[in-house]
Amino acid sequence: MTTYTVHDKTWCLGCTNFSLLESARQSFQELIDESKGALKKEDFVLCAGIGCHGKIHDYYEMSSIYGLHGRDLATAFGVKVGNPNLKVVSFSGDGNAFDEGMEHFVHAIRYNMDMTLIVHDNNLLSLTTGQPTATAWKGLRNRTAYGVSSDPFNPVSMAISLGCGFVARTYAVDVQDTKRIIKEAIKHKGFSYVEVVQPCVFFLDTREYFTKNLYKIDETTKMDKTIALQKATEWNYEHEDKKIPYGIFYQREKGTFEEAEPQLKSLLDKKIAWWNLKRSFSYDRFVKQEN
Amino acid sequence: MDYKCFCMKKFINLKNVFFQMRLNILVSGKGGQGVNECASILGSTLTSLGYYCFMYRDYESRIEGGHIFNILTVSDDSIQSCDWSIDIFVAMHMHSISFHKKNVVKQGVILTSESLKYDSYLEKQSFQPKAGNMFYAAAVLKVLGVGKEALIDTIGKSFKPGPMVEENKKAVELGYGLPKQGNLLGKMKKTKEKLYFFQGSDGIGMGAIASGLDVYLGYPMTPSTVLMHYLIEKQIQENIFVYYMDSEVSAINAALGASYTGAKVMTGTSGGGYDLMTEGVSFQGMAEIPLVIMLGQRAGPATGLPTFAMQADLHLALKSSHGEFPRVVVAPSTSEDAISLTNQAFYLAHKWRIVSIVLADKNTLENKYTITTLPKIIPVVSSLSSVAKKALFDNYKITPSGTSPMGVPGKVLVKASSHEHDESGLTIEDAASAKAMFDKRMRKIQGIEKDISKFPMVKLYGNPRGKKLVITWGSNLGAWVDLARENKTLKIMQILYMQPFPSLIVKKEIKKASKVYVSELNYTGQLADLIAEKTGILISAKQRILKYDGRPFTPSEIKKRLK
Repeated sequence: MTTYTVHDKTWCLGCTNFSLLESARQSFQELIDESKGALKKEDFVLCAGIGCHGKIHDYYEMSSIYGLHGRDLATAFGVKVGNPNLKVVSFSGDGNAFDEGMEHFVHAIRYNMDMTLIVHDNNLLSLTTGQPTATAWKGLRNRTAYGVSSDPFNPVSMAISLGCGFVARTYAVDVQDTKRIIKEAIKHKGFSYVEVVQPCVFFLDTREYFTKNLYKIDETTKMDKTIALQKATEWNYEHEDKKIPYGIFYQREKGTFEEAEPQLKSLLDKKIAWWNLKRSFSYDRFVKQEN
Repeated sequence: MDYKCFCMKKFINLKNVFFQMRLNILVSGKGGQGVNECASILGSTLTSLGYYCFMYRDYESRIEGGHIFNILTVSDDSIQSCDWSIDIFVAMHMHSISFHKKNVVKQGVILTSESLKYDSYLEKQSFQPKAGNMFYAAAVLKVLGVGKEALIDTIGKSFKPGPMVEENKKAVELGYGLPKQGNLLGKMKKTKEKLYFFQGSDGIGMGAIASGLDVYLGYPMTPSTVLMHYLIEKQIQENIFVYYMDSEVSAINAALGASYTGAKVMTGTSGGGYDLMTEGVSFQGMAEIPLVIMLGQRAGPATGLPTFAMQADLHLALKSSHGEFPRVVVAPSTSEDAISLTNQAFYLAHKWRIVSIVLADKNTLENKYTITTLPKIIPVVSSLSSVAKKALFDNYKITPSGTSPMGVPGKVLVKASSHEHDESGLTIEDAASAKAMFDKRMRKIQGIEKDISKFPMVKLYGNPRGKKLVITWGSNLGAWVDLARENKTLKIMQILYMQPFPSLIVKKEIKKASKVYVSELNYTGQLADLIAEKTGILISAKQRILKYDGRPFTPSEIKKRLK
C-alpha cells in the first residue's frame, strides 16, 4: 500500500494541499493495483522543489528527492537518465515552476522524457509568506506597495503551444477528478503536465471564486491542438468573472526521449539501471603505444 | 581545519642528462586551415619514432580566420613545456609571418605557403584543400631529416580508411618534395621507452571511463568542451550516456538525479558555468549523492579570454557554495595525472558520497604530452544497497565513519534531501538531530584523509637537496620541471591535492629550503594564499612568480624571473 509516513504534516489547517496529497496517493495506488504486479511502489520516484508543495517529500512513504528551488524537473530528468524504468513524478509550485524554474519547464516539454509534472498553483510564494508569482493576476496586492503590475502568465496555453503531449488543469479541492487526471497523466507516455489550481487558505482564499467559475470541459476533442488552445485561453489567470475550464485539454503521444536515445532504450528493453551493468576497462581500447 | 599529514610524497627523478636537446616547431595559420591537426600529427609521428613531444595550442575565440598557432617541442627526454626559440617556423598563411619571424633562431628554417608554392598545387587541384595541413607536416619532416613513411603510417592509423587518406597521402608526397633536405633531428637520441601522446582532457575522459563512468551531463564551455567531445566519441563503444543539457544548472541537478539511482556520473564546465552550478554543489553536500565535476579553468573574470589559460579558480573550487560540507579538490598537470587523479576523484566521491572536483586548466586540457606510463587504475565501488530493514531505507545512517550505504530506488524506498534530515531522509529541524547529522557528514573528513594516504598528494622534481624550492600546480608545473633539468639548484614541488591539503609536508619542505617561490598563472597567488592559510607560513609578494595574460610560462621566462 502507498501510505503516509509518520512525519508531522506542517501545512496550514485547511490547506488544499491535503486533498491534492490524497488524490495523488490514490492515483499511485490505483495504478499499482491495476498493473497486476507489473508496477510496484518501489518503482516510483517523486521529486519536489522548495515551497509549500515541497513538503510532500516528507509525507509519502515512497522514494523521493527533496531538491533545490526551481530545479526539481532537472533532477527528475536525471533520475530517468539514471534508470528509465522508474516512474517519475515531479511536484512543483507556481513560484518553483514558473519563476525560478521556467527554463526547466520549457526544456522538460522539449525533451519529452516519460514523466509527470504536477504544479500546485496558488498564485503565490506561500512559504515565504505570500508574495505574488508569475501566475498572480494584475493588481493583486499581496506583499506589494502598488499591486502586481504585469499580466499573469498562462502555463496551460504555453504548455500546449510548446507541444506538450499531455496538458490538464484540475482543482485541488476536487479529489476524485484530480485523482483521475493524475492517473491519466502518469499513464501517458511522454512528458505530462497537470496544473492544479488551488486557493491558499492563509494568504489568498480564492475558494469562492473558483467554485463559482470552474467548469468541466468536453474532453472528447482533446486530440485537437487548436481547440485545446482556444479552451486554454478562455481564462488567462486574470481575476475577472470568467468561466475557468478544467479537465484534460490536450493529449497526443509522441516519441519519448528515452526511446530515442539508444543507451537509455537498451536499459528500458533490459529493464535494468546503469548500476546493473558490469564494466571492465583496458587501456587498449583508448590509447595505443605510439612507437 | 588543519589536515594531519598522512600524505605520501613521490619523488620523480629527472634523468641526469648533461644537456637536454629541445627543438621548437611553430605551426601557424588562419583558423580553419588545420594548424592544430598539422602539429598534432607531427607530434604523433615523432613520438612514434621514439622522440618525446609536447604540444601547446594557442587560438582565438573564433571558428575561422584570425591568427592561431601551435608550438610542438621535440626532445630526447621527457618534456612538458615549449619555448620561444623557434627552430622551424611554418606559416600556412603569409600574414602569420609578421607575428613570429622575430622568434626564429639564427639557423632556423622558415617554411611558408609561398616558399612551398602551396597555392600552385591548389590551383592544379593536386589534392583537396582539406589535406593542406599534411602537405606542411611533410615539409617539416623533410627539414627534420625524417622519412615521410612514418607520417604516412600515422595518417593510416589516425584517419578512417577512405578517400581522405588518399588525399592526405598525395599532399604528403608533394609537401615532402620541395624543401631542402635537412637534418635538424640528426643528433637527437631516440628513446626505447614506451611512449603515448595525448592531451589532458583525453586523460580525464579515460580516467572517468576507467572508473566506471555511466553518465556525463554537461553544457559546452571552453575549455571543458573537449572532455565532452572525447566522451561523445566513446559513447557507443563504451555504452555510456553523454548529453548536452540546456544549462549548467540543469546539468548539475540532473547529474545528481542520475547519481541518486546508483549510476556513476560526471559533469564538467569552466569557471562561469561552475558559478551557476554552485547551488547544486551545495545540494550535493547535504544530499550526499556522489558526484565528480571537472572544472576547466580559463582566463576570467566573466567571459575573460575564453580560449586562454589561467589558474584563478582555485579559491572558487575550494570555497564555492553555501554551507559547510566535505569535498575533494585535485589538480592534474599532465595527461598522466589527469588519468590517475580523475580515477581517485571517482574513488573518493563514491566511497565517501562526496563531491570531487577535478580542477584542470585550459593548458592541461588541450596540451598534448608524451607520457611513458599509463597509471594503474584503482577500482571504484559504490556502497549500494537494495535491502531495507524498515519501510524507508536509512539513506543517511549515522555511522562511525560518517558515510552510509546508498539505497537503490526501484529496489527500496529511498529519500534524498536538500533539507536537513534524519537517517531516512525525512525533514528534521530540531537542534540535536541537526547537529548529529552535521557531525556525521563532517566526520568523513578524517576518513578521507586517511584514505588518501595511499595516493601521492605532492610530487617533487629536480634536485632532492636543492635549496631553492618552487611550489606550483596544474599546467604551470611543466616549465619549472623543464627548467630544473638544467638548473640543479632547484627543487620543484607540485601540489596534487588542494583539499585535503598536504599541510605538513608543504611546511616541512618550505622549512628545509633557503629560498621559496610559489608560481601560478594568476594575479594574486591563490596557492600562495592557501599555503599561508594551511601552514601559517606567509609567502611574500616577492616570492610569488605570477603571470596573468592567459599565456603559459616558458622555461626561459621563469629563468629570468627567478633572478
